[in-house]
Order: sequence, then C-alpha cells, then structure tokens
Amino acid sequence: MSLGLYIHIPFCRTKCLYCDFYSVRFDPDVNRDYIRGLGLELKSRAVGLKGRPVDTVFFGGGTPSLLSVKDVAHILEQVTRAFPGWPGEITLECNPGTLSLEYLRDLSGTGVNRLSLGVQSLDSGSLRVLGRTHTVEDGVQAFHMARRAGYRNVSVDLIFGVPGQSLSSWRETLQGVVRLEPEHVSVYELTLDGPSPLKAAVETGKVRLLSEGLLEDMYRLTRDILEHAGLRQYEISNFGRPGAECLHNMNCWQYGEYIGVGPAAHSFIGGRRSWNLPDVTAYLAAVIRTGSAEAGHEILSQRDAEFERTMLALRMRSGMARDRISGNLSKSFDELRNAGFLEEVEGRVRLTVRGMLLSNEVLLRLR
Amino acid sequence: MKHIRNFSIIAHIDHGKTTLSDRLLELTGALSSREMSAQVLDAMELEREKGITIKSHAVRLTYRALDGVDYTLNLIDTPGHVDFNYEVSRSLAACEGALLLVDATQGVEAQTLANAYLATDHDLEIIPIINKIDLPSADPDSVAEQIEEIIGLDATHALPASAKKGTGVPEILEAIVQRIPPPAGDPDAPFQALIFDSWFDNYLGVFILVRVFNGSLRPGDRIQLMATGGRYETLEVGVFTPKRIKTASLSAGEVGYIVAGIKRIQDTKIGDTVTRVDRRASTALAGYKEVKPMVFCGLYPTVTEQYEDLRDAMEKLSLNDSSFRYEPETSVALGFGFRCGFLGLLHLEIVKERLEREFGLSLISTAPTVIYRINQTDGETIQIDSPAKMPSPQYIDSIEEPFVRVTIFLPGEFVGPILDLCQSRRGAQVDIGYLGPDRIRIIYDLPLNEILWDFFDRLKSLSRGYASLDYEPAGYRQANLVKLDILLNGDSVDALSMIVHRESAYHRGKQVAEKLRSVIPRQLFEVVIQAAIGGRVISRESIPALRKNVTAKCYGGDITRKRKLLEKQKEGKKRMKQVGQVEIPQEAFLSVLKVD
Repeated sequence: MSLGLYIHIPFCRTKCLYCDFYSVRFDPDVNRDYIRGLGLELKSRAVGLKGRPVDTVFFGGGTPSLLSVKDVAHILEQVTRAFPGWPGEITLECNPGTLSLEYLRDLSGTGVNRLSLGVQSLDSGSLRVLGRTHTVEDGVQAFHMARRAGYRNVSVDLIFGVPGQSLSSWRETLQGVVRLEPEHVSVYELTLDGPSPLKAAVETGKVRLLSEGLLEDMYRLTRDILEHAGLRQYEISNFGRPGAECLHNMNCWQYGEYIGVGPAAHSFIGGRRSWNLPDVTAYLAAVIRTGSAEAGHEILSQRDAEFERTMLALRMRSGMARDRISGNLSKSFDELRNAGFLEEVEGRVRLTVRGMLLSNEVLLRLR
Repeated sequence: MKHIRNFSIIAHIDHGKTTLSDRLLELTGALSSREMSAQVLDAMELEREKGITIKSHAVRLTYRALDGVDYTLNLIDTPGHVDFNYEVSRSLAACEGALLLVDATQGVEAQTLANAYLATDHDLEIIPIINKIDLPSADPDSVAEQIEEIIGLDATHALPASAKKGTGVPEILEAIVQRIPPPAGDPDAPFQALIFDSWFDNYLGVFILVRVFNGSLRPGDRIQLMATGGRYETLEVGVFTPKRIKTASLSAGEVGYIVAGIKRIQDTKIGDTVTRVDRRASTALAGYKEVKPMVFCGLYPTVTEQYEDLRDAMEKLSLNDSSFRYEPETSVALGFGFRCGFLGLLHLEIVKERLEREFGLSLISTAPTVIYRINQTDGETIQIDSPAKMPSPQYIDSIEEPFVRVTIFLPGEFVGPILDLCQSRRGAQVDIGYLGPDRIRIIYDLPLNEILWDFFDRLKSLSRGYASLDYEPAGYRQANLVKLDILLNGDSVDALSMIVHRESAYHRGKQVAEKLRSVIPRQLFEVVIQAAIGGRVISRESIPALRKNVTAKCYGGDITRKRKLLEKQKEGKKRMKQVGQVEIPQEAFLSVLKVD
C-alpha cells in the first residue's frame, strides 16, 4: 500500500478574499522555527511507521512557493532521513506571483518534480474578485517558466463560479489553459463555507453568486473542453493526460494511507484519522515538547470506513467494484442507475456527469 | 357528615387556580411548604408546561375552623380547558360548592362564565373570589361589577385575595365552612357513588375517584358499575391527602378512591354510578353520558419501523386516557398508522406530544377532521372521520357537518376583526351585545371544522390576547362540502386531502399548492403539485429539479468533515416521509392547514 506525505506550509503574503483556511502572514523568523518544527514532527512520525517508505510528497498551503529553495531542500532532507527511499512524486503548490525562472530551476534540483500552479483564472476581473495578487500574465508566465526550468509534470489550478464571471469568459480561460498544454488541470467551483470577505459580501448582497444553471453549464463546458484536449477527467475536479494523474491525491481517494505534517494537517494510518492543532504557535510548542501536535483523532467504525471508501471511490472515473455494493444498498444503486446518476462499466460502478453534479445527493442514498 | 365540605375551584385559564389549591394545601397543613414542589396538583410534566390541569384530582384537607371544630374539606380539582367540559361537569356534580376565581386584572372571561353556569346548573353554592389583588393593574371593584352584571351573582361578599402571596386565603377557608352546605345523603341507603375521575396504576389496576351520595362501601364488598354493568370486588378504599391513605370505608358525603381489580380504564366511565351488588341502588345518578371524540386525525410513524412501538405507546397511553380512541388505518401515502379520536384540539396536541416525548416516537399527523354525515343517493347515511372515506361525488346526495356554538368575550376595540374572522369561517351570528362598559359578548354558530386548526391562535392574535372563548356542540347542519385532493407528480396523496367548503375550495387549493411548494425541498427530479376537486385540477405548482450539489474539493483534511456533513443531511432525510418518489418533510402534512 502506498504512503503519502502532505506537508502544510501555512504562510501567505496576503490572504485571498475567498479563503477560509488557516494561514498566517509570512515572517522569516517564524518560518525558520517552523521548518525546524516540521523536522521534529517528521522524525517522531517515522518512528511509528517502522521504516516504511514514503511514495509521494505534496507541499500544500498556504503558499509553499514562499519557501526558499534551501528550506525545501532541508525539509526533503529531513524526509529522506526519517523515511527510507526517495519519493516518486514530489509536488509543490506555487502562487504565480512569487515565482522566478531561477527559483524554479533551483527548486528542480531539490527533487521537486511536479508543480501545481495557482493560476485560478485567465480573466483579470475574476482574479480581482478573488483577491489574487498575481495577474493573468503572471499565471501564463509562471507556466512558461516552469517549462523552461524543465518541469514535465505541471498542473494548473482553476476556479469557476466567480461572481461576475460569464460562460464565455470561463470558456476563454479554459481555452487559454488548453493552449499551454499542461499535463494536469484541477478545476474547482468556488465554495464559500467558512467566514471570508467574499462570503460576507455575498451575505450582505454586495456580490451575487452565479445561478445554479450557469454553474452547471460551466461544469459541463469544463469537461467538454478539457476532455477534448486530451485531459481526461479522472476525478470530479481533476483532469490529466493518461499517466499524469496526481499520484498523491489518487492515493487519498483510493483510501490509501497518508501522513500530514504541519498545523491542521490530517493523517490516516491503520484506520485511524488524526489531525493537528490548527495554530502555528501552538503547533510549534507541541512538537518541540512532545514531537507531536495531534489535536484529536477518530477510529473509524467499519460502517463509516466503508462509507468513506465509497464516497471517495465515486469521486473517480475508475469508480468502485460493483460487487462491493450489496444488501440494502443494491436497491438504492439500482434506482440511482435507472435514474441516470450511476453507470456500470465492466463490473465497476461510477458516476455519470449528472451523477457528478449531484454527487452529494447520490452519496446520501448510498449511506 | 355535617363537618364535610365538598368543593371545586373554577376559573378561566391562568386566573390562579393551581396557586390557590397549593395555598389551601399548605395552610391546612396537608403539605409543608417545603414538601410542595410548586403546584402539587398538576402532576404531569406536560400539565405543568402547558400551565393547565388535565386530570382532575381530589384532595382531603383537615381544617380547624374558628369555631374550634375540625372540618373535612374535599377539594376536587377540575380540568381547565373547553375540551374537557364533560369532565368538569362531573367533578362539579360531586360538590356542594365552588370557589369562582376571577383574575382582578383580567376580569370575567369566557370560561369563567361557562364554568359559573355549569356550577349554577348543579345548584352549587358559589363563592366569588377576586384574585391577584396584589398586582398594580388590579381593579377589584370593576371585576366585582362584572361578576354581578355578566354572571348575575351577588358579589357583595366576594373575597379579595392574592393566592400567590397568601393574602385572603384564611378568609377563603372560613367561607368554605360557613357558606358551602354540608352534603346531604343517607349512609344507610343503597350505595351510590359518582365516578368523576379514574386512572391506571401499574400495580393495583384502575383507581376510580368517587363522591359517595348514599350508603357506604368497605373492602370486600362487591361493586357494580351501572352503565357498563361490570362487577368487581372492592380491594381497597381510601383518600388522598394528597398522599394515599387507606380507610376502613367510604360513606355518604365522602370523596375518595376505590381499587377493585379493574384492568382497563375503558371499563370505568366518567359519570357512571358505582353501586353494591348486595344492595343495588334502584337508579343511577343523573347526568351520565358517553363521551365521544369530536376531532380525528391520522397519526403515522415517520419511519415504518416504529409502527409496533407506536401501537404499544398508544395502548399504554390509553390506559390513562379513557377518551382517547385509536384504530389501525392504512394510508397509501403514509403506510400503516392509526386513526385517532380526541375530545378536542388541545387533547389532540397533548396526546401527540406525549407520544413523541414519553415514547421517543417521531410522528406525522394528518389534518384534523370532524365527523361528517354523508347522505348517500341510495338513502343510506354514513359517518366519516377521514377525507379518505368520502364516497365519490356521484354517490353523495348531501353532506352534514357538526357545528359548535362559540361564545367569545372581548374588549370592544377588537370586535371588528373578530367578527371578520368568524364570518370568514362560515359563521352565523347568534348574538352580540355589551356586558359592561367595555366588554362585549359575541355568540356565533361555526362549523367545528373551521375552528379546528388556527382559529384560537387567530383569535388571540387579532385581540392581542384579550379575547376568551368557550364552545359547545350545536348539532349538524347541511353544507356544500367537497373533497380537495392533492397530487404529487400525478399521484393523489391521501394524507394531504381534506374536506372543504366548495366556495373556498379554489382559493384553498391554490394556497395549499403554494405552501407545499415552499416546504417540500427540491428533489432529484421535478415535483409537480396539483390541487384537484373531483378529478379537475384547480391549481398547479412545480418544484424544479435539483441541478447541482457537489463537493468540489475532497482531500485528506476534508474527509471527516465531509462524511459528518453527509451524516447530518442523512439524519434530516430520515425525518422525511417518502411518498412515491417524493420526499416530504413531516411538517408539510400540517402546514397545509396553516394557510389563510
């Protein structure tokens, strides 16, 4: 079984208007301590895993590209010291506004072999609404620099459903991204769950969200354009050339095990899910004292685990084996298939496009 | 016998009856103030919450009067709501006197008058008491005037009191002794006792509370209940002080309980006469009548698995509620459930709440209805207690519905809106007039069906709480009624159908369809709501299909949260009833009534 390692970098230069994640302002001093803290947590994590190799590493954030190349190299050194072997896929999320060709070249030398670029949109209006600090040009340039720096596995992150966005502007973004010929594209609908300035603006009526119908059209258009360009939809929000799927995330959806280090990071090992303290200061204090910053955990019942496995498997094009659906669920499955939400292909069950659009409703009926 | 006084306290709701009862118990030393959790006589949690007394009780108090003699005072508590009118009349029949309690800030209300009339009908000595005189807004003089003008009682000797503070309570005790006559009756005559309350005890079976009019009864005596004919052996007799105390006998003039190994409360009818098998009374006491439910509704478990539990719960509940009726019923939409009968709406609400609270059930109740008489074209007359039982229009010659005579008291400024309300409910005015400078009495004959749901609420809100109401059955009358069917995606949902007046059917159908559109959540497919009369659609609404509900991101840190979110939604779904393919929230079944 694969083992993934997620490394959380909770620093940002500024906070985006739609973001409700935990992040703090980048500060070189805190950053130095933080890198040391990650090392401590990695070391103590490895003890429990008795020499198991890590297959994938994912630097997520926050803004991991705020780390210096030296920092990244240092963290990866800690990883290889704690875990045997060398991970096959090392991804680092980048904010296009922070990049230079030199940085990317040097970064490549640390072993990072996959970039996830937070381009988000090729429409400057949407970038403004989202509060992104980079320009459309920055996004495009970031991609070209990545290529020049030698990366052959580059993903572009996009957001649709931005207030003010039209179907044609979204089409232009998609077409622009397709012209760059990335190996991978992640497309997320804008979601406003926790408190954020954009959410507040929506609630006070200053900004209006797009209609459900338009969002559905955008989702369908995304699929059409990207699939047509050879970027296969392999998950509800992810598209990739065959062989360029994100191994780290695939492992998570296939219910593989993973370790998450850093504040608020989640781990899942041996049916036990745990999560770290969300606050950087508290996190550092805890790892310095005990090597762990675990804030809580849950041990999944078989039923919950089965449901999670279904919930995650149905996110993917590969779906789940038909024979895993039995008992009470068979009836629901038949109903959902007859209604066009699920389809069965060669002994496996997966969501249709309509099923993806209503996947929460489908899952409710398979609980 | 000449040292016994049997009395009740009668009052409009919230005029302080329970507080006064507690004071009397405290002052006669029946319970120390420490022993009294406030409001001793309202035993059930629900009674306390609703602030009304549902089950009546009788408490024996011992009081040493100013003349130095010990008197036995039997305080018979009466239910305080119009639904339980018959029970009140039986309790009063057990007394020689009554304390008529009137709130000094509110004055005479509809139930004050109704209860006072009941007491007068039973020739009781009435002692008017003006309560809550400690409140700044108290106006005892004008309340005394109202008692004279509206009720026609001499208020010269009305007693001022504050039950809450204890003011005037000793004077009330003296008045009970001085003014209420002792019971008459012959201890040596054949035994005759009036049943005015009963309840089921898990260990001893049914307890019946009686007022003995003639003769006496000891454990071992065989008794007969005259209306039902049941014969039993007396196991125990006694009184409540309010603690249960066994006594050697119960004889003429006394109030107490009988335990006689009776298994079902349905075998004891309120108002029935108990006599002895060895010396039967030749006649039963007057006033007995069979209590019949007036209001009906279907009660269904939200999840079919709870059907058995619901049946058990209803069985248990009916052990202690002889007026609650239920029988199995099947609805196409809701599956297996029960058609239940109640004395009135409050009774319905109380039973439903107890079933949900005490037995942990989740219930759907269908629209309350009354008993309609259908005169069929074949000459036969049938009675229906559910819209589902309504025959097709071609078999109906005419329909009759029950009416009630409603008496409303209110200050003059609210008369306009209240008259409009009664008119809009198909009411026929019987009388309207001034009772005092700013007190108006309105009497209307209204179809019972029209006051079933929100009439009381509307009355209260239109009069800012000042109007009070009482009603009594007023016979059946012919009416132009039709069955309004509700269809979801083309299928008629029997549990949503209702019987309405033809003139308001169109308007009503439109409102109900609109209401359902707002309470039924969007589903995976379009839901079409139609209201129809006799197959003709009169209104149509549609709920568009849900197009999108997808979680965009689900990575390592999102999984627990996502699963829990889905679990929560699943719980919400469990509270919905699936009718065909459509999921309907519980409240939809009642929300159709709350349209205006």
